[in-house]
Amino acid sequence: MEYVARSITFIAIYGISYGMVIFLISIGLVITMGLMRVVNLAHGAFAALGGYFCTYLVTTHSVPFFAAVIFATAAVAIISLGMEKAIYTRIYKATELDQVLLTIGLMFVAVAGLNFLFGPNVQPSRLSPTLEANIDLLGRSVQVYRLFIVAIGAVVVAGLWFLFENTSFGARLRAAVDNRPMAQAIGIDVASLYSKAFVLGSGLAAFGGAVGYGMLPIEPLYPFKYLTIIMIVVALSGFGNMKGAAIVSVLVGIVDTAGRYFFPTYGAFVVYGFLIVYLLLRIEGGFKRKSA
Amino acid sequence: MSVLKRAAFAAAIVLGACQTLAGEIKVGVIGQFSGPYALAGQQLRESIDVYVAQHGTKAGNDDITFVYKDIGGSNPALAKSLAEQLIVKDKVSILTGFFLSPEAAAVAPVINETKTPSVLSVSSAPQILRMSPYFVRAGQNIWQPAYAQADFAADSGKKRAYIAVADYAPGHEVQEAFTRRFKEKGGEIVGEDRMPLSTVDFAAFAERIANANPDVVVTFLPNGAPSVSFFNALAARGVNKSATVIAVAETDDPDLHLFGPNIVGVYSAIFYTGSLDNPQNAAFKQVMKERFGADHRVGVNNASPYDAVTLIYKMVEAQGKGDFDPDRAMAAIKGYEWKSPSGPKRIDPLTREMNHNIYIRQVQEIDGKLQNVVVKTYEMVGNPWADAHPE
Repeated sequence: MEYVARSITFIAIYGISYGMVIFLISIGLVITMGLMRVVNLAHGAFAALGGYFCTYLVTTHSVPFFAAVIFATAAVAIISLGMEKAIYTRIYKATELDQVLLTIGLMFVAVAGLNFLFGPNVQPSRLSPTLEANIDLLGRSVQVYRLFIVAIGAVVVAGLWFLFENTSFGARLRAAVDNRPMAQAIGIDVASLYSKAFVLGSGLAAFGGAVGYGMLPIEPLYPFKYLTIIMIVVALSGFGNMKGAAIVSVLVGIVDTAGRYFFPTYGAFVVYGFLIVYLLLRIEGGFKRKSA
Repeated sequence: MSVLKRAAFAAAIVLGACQTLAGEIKVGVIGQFSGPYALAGQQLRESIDVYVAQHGTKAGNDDITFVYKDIGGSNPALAKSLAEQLIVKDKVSILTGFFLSPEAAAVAPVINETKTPSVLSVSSAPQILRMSPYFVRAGQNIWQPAYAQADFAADSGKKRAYIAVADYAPGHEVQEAFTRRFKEKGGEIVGEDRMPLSTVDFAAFAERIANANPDVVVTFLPNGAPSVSFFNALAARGVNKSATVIAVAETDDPDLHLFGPNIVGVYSAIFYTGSLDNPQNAAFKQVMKERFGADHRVGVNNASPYDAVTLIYKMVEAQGKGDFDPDRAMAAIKGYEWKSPSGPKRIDPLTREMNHNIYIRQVQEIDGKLQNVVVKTYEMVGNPWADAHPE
């Protein structure tokens, strides 16, 4: 009985915290893909860049962790604005094959660039002593960092929910996701909406890469390594569906953690089994948003 | 390979041999210069540069030049085609490099056909040397550190071991070797996990290990990201404190700064550490510092490629006038003994395996810096794998 209780608390805490990091690095792509129908395979590069800026500031300039996270997020958001204007606007109307070719190319450029700038090795993943400490919770010791990630994730989910459901930006965004020509016809400036959503998505990815580096180590292959899990979340959430993405991420985190815990060697496949079953059951792409 | 292709290949080699300039011997280097193992490729190149800087380009009557080819990841088929290119087109007489064992295995038929001595600079799979009489090992056989892990655990009075290795061939070898030796010494294996290479969050494994309550945890993972995540997870779950952790190369000197302070206390079993106190190591580190900066830290993947170049120079030195003779080269290194930065070395004349010291190192914080300190030495370790698997 004690074993069962211990297993459940472990899977809950670690699965949810892992799911939250996945949510942060994927949600940007869920939004932009819903809005622009562009499969941006280079999305993980923004998360990697955020993580690189953050570790760089923390280790070489001794910037406090939280300040470094904010700076890294802002820096990547600005860079992504430039990228959007220079590159992405050109492919919004291109065919899917062109989009995939260009964005996967960008991903390779990012991997090579990070390798060139920061070297092939993984970056040091130091956390602040407060986050590294363990506390007792539910009869077991838990790293504060895990709880911190859960809290941050919850705050971001709540913030995004407010943004999407209760602001005019959110309303325009939802309108554009559901029906682009009609949104344009009633005077919504879709081009500027695209830019804002793109910057928001990239910024969130950078934020996820930065706060999550204690869990997903920062290395040049980062954009490539986590592409599969990002695509799983995107595929299961449905276009632009923030709430769906949050639920799916946490589910994927829990399923993955439980799979590894109970079947260590083959546990990595459990999440793919979950993906297949889920897609078969909800062929329309998961949590459908009520369309207006 | 069809008969025609074989004939063409052989003809090309004969022609190639005739065209080689007298007095110049080329060495082909198949290295990981880009891709996920690029750090090892960089270390290979550094070590070759340092050896050449110390010893010049001349060995015996011949000038040695190195021809580099990038394999850029795990790609046995490419390794084979690069070996063919190097031998046929670039006319190299000796091959080296070989970071991953499947690369070496793929090249074996090529070097058998062309009689090309090939020095394994890092590759540690025990079976490779039996695939060709032209292979010789400059690094370690993975069974050597695994036996040292088991001996050290047993010598420290540990009884309950948990084995956590990455799910790939060298990990499986460590698992087999450690289990065999530890049971021989009266220990018990309380749990074992093969962790998929794609794992990013190791918390589930740390949890399983903690639940099994072992007194020693034995690990083997690739350097870099997987090791850092895994040891962070162990520390977060308090396993470092409740059990003795013995790794292989995960806490290597150049990687130490990647870990947090909670890595202190972890042991590892391997054939080199930067803190070894011998004149060869002092000179080696000195030249490394001069060429690559004061912060440069020498790692195990620097040490064995350096020994590989030592063997290559020995092979070339043994040549008389006339064409390069592969069998004379191999004869020269069989039974060869010398002092290397990692201590005394000897090539076993029968198996062409490296006999050398395996050091048990512990990560300690000295003057605010993490360092691997040697706490025990297993001297001139032989070839336990060959003893367990007679031909």
